[in-house]
Amino acid sequence: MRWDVVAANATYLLEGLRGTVALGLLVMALGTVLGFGVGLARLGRGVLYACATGFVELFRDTPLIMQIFFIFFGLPALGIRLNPFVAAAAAMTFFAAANTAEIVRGAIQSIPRGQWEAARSLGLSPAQSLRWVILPQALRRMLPPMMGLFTTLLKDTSLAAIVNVFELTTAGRRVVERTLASFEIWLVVAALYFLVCYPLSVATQRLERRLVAETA
Amino acid sequence: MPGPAQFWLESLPALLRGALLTLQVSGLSIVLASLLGVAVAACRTAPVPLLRWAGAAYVEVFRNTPLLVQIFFVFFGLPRLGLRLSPFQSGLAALSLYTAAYNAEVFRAGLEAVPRGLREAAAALGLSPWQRFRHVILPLAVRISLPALGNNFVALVKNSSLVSTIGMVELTFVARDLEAWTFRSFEVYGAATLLYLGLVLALAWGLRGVEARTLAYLRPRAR
Amino acid sequence: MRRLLAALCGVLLVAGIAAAAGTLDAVRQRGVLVVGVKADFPPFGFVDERAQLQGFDIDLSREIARIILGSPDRVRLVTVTSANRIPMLQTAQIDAVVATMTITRARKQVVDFSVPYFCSGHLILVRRDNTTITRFTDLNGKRVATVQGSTGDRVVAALAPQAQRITFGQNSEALLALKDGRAEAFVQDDVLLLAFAKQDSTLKVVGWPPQMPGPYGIGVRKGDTDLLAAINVALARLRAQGVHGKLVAKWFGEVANQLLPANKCPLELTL
Repeated sequence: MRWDVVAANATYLLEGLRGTVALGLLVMALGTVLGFGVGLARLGRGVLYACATGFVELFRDTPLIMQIFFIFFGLPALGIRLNPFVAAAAAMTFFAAANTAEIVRGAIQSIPRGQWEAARSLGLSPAQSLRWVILPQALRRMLPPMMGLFTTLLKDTSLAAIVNVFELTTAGRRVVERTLASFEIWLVVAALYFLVCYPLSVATQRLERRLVAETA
Repeated sequence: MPGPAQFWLESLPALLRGALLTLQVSGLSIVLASLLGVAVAACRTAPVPLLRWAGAAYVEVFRNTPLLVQIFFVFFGLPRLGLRLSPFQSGLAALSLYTAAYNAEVFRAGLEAVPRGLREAAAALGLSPWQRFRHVILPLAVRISLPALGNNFVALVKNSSLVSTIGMVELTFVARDLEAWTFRSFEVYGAATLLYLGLVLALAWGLRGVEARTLAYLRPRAR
Repeated sequence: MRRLLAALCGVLLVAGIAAAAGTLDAVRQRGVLVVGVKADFPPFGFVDERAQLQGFDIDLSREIARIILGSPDRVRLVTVTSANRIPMLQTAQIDAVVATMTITRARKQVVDFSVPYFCSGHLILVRRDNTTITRFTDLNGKRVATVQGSTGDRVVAALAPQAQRITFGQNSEALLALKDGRAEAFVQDDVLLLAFAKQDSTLKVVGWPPQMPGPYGIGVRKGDTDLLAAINVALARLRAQGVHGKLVAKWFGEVANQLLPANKCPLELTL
């Protein structure tokens, strides 16, 4: 075993981890905002609904890696030229937004119809009913699946390595390139991902259990 | 340079061959990940603490690390321990192990949803613990799990794209290879994306059919 | 968060501006030449223990910056891979590609190349105990590791069509597959394989003489004639000053005399 290789490259790997967390946080923030918009559009009708549905299906039913490739390698044919970081972040944002949209829609639709009717009969407009009556209840139901999605996103930032964005997996690949210590490096890289993802998973499970206990 | 339509026509056979391998590895993984998932879920709900702990550790490790890193570890790391798998075997193993962790959670929820009374009734009938699990609890748990299981299978087909990184010549690999030699990125990745969309929609449609048939008994029936 | 967003906008803007202006003027104005180099191709480009890029292509880029901009430090190195170096160039992330890129007929249709700066053929790397593979035709029916998008991959397809190619994303991965027995051979540029064999006594190089030789060139965007001319002048001056020879000696050492002489190289590789 060659654990000295790990020690010698620890700073480099930790720098990669920082890249992973930064990309993850960026995508979570942008994806949540965009996803809320798309999710609300999915509740409506007409052109907006059709566009939102197409967006959700396209980004949920194709592999994220294809989306990254298409945005980075394919879009320049249409004159849209992005650097690897922006391309990966954009693809992941769309992917996150499509999944967020489904969570938002599901949570809102899970609120009993009677709540809408009650709010409307109080004289609230549809927008007001949504804002003051439905959303506060729906938000609680969104929280656990959203946190689950965040864990997925954090793991999926590893795909940015395939277009050479600097993050943990890229850092691991470059160290393996020079040292060939593949067993040790990939084990340590996996452990570092676990270190950031596991607390998020545990928090998600706790929250889920608490919400179930409260509603039961 | 040939136009887009002609280019698509010329590269379609290669892409379809890749899609076929995507189907093969996904199909095999669905079977393996389901069997392994049931086993892990059984561990997680077993009355033996050590088994429960082992099952939980399995699920947490595989769900909290990226599949891509797992694939790299299986293919490039395991030879150090004397385990040399071909790209296909490595891809199949990594995809199955990863998906099994997700399936196990779905099955566990299914197992826990089986009413207590039913277990007791099966015991009262004199069935052995294995017979109870195999013939009474598992069939019901699988039916309860079906919709969530379908989501995992769809994710699996999409995730199979990652095995292209260790040289398995499936759809994503073929697309990258075509792109590297023709520089027709837009056409190549556009076509590959559409093929994935087709695969996933077909799978989702098939799963809905299976679901409708197996869960038909739950729907209210007209008399 | 806000800073990240601002940075994002900035990056987009810069990319747009760089694409619009004449590249050589833009380079002179910003005082920095942005070059795409490899981080996975020793001894041409690799990351050392202190996370610094090193290698022949890196030194060459610095020398070119010295001639065009007056100082070897007026260069910004961006790591690229075989798969993304041309898109990176076309999307104006970089001004030039100095990344072991063989001049091929297909690539000439999408980028403009400088005069050659290195000549490379293809050889076969096998484990030392291997006795069945000595020539390229012996690769038929064998499992051969290659790198996606590399000329080595095409050379195997052309010279040993019955070979079972296992294609990886980078050189170390193909090397690992060879070392642990999941591939029986690894076909790639001669200089890289010679360096691997020199470092690792369990490996040896076969398949002499190097097959399908081709020249490495520096790539610029199609129509960037002013930058291309400046690079060609710089390369000619580096040869005349003996700098080029010094770099070859520095990075290839005793392997250098096993390499193909530049005057034996065709002007392009027909693939």
